[in-house]
Amino acid sequence: MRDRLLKYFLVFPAIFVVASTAFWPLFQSFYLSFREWKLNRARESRALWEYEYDGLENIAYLFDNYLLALEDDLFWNSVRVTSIFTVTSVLVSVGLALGLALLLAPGGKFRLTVRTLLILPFAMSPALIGVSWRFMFQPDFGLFKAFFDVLIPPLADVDWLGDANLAMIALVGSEVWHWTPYLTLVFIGGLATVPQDAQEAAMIDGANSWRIFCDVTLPSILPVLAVGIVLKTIFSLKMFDQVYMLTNGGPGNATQTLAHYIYFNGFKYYNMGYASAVSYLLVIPMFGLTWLYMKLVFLKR
Amino acid sequence: MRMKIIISFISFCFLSSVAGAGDNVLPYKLKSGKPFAGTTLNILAVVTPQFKSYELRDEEFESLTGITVNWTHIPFVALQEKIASVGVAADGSFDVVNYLDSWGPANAYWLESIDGWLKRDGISMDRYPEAFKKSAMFKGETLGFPLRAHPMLMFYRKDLFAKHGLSVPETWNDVASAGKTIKQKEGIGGLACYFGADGNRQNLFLWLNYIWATGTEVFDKQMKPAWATPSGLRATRDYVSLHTKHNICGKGAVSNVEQDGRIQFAQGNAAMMPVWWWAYSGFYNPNQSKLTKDQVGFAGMPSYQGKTVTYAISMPYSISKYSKNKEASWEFMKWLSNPELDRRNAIERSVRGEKIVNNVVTHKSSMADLGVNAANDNIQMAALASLANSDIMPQIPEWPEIGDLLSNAIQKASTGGNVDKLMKDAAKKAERILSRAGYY
Amino acid sequence: MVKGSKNKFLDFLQILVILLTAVFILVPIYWIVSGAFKQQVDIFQLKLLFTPTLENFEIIFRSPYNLFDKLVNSTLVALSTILIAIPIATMAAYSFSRFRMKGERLMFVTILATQFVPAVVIVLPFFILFRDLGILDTRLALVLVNLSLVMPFAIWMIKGFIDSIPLDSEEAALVDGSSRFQVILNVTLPMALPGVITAGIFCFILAWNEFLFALIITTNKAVTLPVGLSLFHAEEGVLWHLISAAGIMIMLPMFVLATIIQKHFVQGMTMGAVR
Repeated sequence: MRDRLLKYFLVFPAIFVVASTAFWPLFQSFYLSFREWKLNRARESRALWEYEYDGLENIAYLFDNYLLALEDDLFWNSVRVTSIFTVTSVLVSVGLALGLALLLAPGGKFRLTVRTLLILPFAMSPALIGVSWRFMFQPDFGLFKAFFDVLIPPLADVDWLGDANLAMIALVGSEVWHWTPYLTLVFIGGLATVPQDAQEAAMIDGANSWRIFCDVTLPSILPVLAVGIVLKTIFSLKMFDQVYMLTNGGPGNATQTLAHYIYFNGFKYYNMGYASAVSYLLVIPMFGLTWLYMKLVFLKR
Repeated sequence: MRMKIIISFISFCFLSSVAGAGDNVLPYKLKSGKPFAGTTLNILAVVTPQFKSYELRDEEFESLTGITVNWTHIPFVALQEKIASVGVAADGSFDVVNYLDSWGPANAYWLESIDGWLKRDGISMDRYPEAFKKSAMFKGETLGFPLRAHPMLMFYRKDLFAKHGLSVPETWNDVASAGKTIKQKEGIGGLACYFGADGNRQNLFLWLNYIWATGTEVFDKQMKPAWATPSGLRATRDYVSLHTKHNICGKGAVSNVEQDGRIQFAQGNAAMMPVWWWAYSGFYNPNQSKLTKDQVGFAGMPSYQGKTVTYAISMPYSISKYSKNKEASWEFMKWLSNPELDRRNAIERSVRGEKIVNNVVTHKSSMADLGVNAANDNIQMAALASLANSDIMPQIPEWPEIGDLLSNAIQKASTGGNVDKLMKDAAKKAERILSRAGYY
Repeated sequence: MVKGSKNKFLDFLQILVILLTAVFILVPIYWIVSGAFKQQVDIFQLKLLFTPTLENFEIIFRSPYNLFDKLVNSTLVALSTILIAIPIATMAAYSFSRFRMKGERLMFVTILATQFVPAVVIVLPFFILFRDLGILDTRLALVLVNLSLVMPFAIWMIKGFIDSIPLDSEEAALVDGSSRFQVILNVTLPMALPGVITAGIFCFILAWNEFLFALIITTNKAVTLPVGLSLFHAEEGVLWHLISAAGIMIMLPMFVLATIIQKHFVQGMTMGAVR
């Protein structure tokens, strides 16, 4: 059988590309995380631990970058911010998306027209979303000021990005705007697979719509829902562009996510080894979530 | 006898050749004879009209030396990362780089010291005000020329101050009371505040004015953080209280950065704005501002507890150690930093048909120049006064990180946080960074 | 009777919520679009009515912004990325879909897993590599990093589409004596083409919108549109009118592309889950 060779030949280029553009750099940054590299002092990295000098008893030096991170309040702050951001943005966007999907699923001209709008936010560059939302929150001539001037005057003078909680709400808001429509589309796709006869049977039995939703609809879209939740969680953990453009981590460090913390430590404070170590502290939960995601995706197999 | 004739003949020839050379001695102490003709230099500079006009004027240099100059203009927001990546790339792709003074130390290991050249060509850094000169130095070596540098001035609305019978504020207390009056009577911000922290540490500008006035330094002699002393904390509290207690700021005081503050002032939404002198022309440029020239006044910075120490900033040009054309780069630096160019660039309002408005000069001679002052409403005189007692941010490689700690602490304090606790906490963290960097 | 009016009320409520959603989606987009046609003075005034101008579009294409260069960079980078990624991904997807291999599951899952690697983690090694290769600030470098971004998505989506093609036609052709290669080229590929195009467009959008890699790897020559936005953070403040104009250049082409693939795209993304 020539196929025996062919099938490996066909996957080889893909494996090669993925290995060199994803695994190689991942390995490299893992290696760097055990080295000291301060761009403000030297062009090359240097070892944190060397057998000849430090001896086996001091092998803990090797983990200096990691230990340093665990001791840093700002690291823990960014862990906290990332968790809050992830949990709220996932809950809000998945919740809203599910509701919208139920509303938009029935079809009809009106609903189909609105559905075509759903793809727009997702196609938009996150960096552009960040910039334009910052513009909308501008306290002297932003959209929100204009909006609240007319509707809720007391809120017109609120400095959205100058308050720790409001800035977080703004950040979550921009992320929800970006993702909810996309998740809605995914869930509408999921709703299309709900068995019609089961729904009708329940209806004939006199079940109300809430019962139908809980007993029939929800169980059958559960896999899609789970995929949506995990996917959104992963992207929330990764999110960088908006926080960089919208709040830049502020006020203070109130919206500094892990990705932002890594970026600043690496490219603003020139501490590359340390930044690599913190990236690995971000990669570890990602591995867990990715595994969970893969489990869910291949649930049916 | 014969010998004498020969000697005198030789010396005649020698002298005449010197005189001959003297006929085409180049200006700005440039090397004659175009030894670097055909070289191409790559320059990385920040986006600003001042440097745009240097680019438009570089034909003079190119025809004098035969060197070609390529400019890359990077917006300020992206500059810090770019400078760092030029250093890491280390491929000589840029011969001359332009950066903010406080990033100098972090990049000093790949910037060429120019002391040798300065001495060789008889150029003295004393042509610059002390703070500017200091801003281009690291560990006793001169790394470059401060070609764009700014003192701070207090801009205010002449019309509104006259309308309410207010006099130009001389102390920060005056600022607070004038700000209150204006906020009450005009309904706009008294002061355009910028407590925002965006990684450029702009909310430290005024903070430094405050703490230096009390004699507090950022670091003590042992390089320990020194801002958390009782007088330093009090100065910080007073700085933050402009917003938290006196409530004289315009909208968005906590999230605004310097640019936002300038727009607020230019759009008539705040009556005072302490900021760099270069902002002046923008404040009455009809494309960006609602104000006319008659409405915009400027004065020296207010004093705190009877003393004024102002913060000054500069953007030096340095030669990269990785450059393959260092001597040619030095020729370029000599031309670029010549006092005549400095002067002309603040007087002429059009360069090769392009409209350029710039009031920034860095030579002491230009600041005292009557022509320059006449063209710019004497803002250079005010600048000289402001620079008489001024200082720059600490010049250490770790400053970006420590500066951000302070910047974030002050932004948090301006949202109503506990100043003392935040500043002490920042001091503790800074000490940890410095100790890791091997200062003690 | 009562029930009918209650239903009508519910219908009305539903339509209201849907309309509000549409408004919520459209307002930020309208905000950018309207900003692009305002003069700088009008930006600060919040006027609903203003004299529209095309001047901003003129300005962004002139020096010092030269947005056209960035447009070319973005287009070439995104295009080259998919021209490399899509054939490779299609080959792999076919193999994953049709054959059983040793360690197949592991290979497939690992490839998919790489899409979850945060860009901030891998950008530094890339930066050092490109420095050593001397290709910092080139489009080639951006194409290489973007491959890591699009590859897993492309393989996943295309596999989904190939899975949905019935085996019968392929088998018939094989029986007729065609080689496997001919079958792929003449039978499978034409049938999978809509899916392949969908995946291609999806990856094009991803590469087009990519920000962090380009932020760090480019300086001048290879700057893409999203990174070019920072050009408008000028000394005199943020030039919102120009950002908005540039924003239109970034989002409009993607809106068109996204609308074209919308239906298939959702199908491709959910296939793995609902199958």
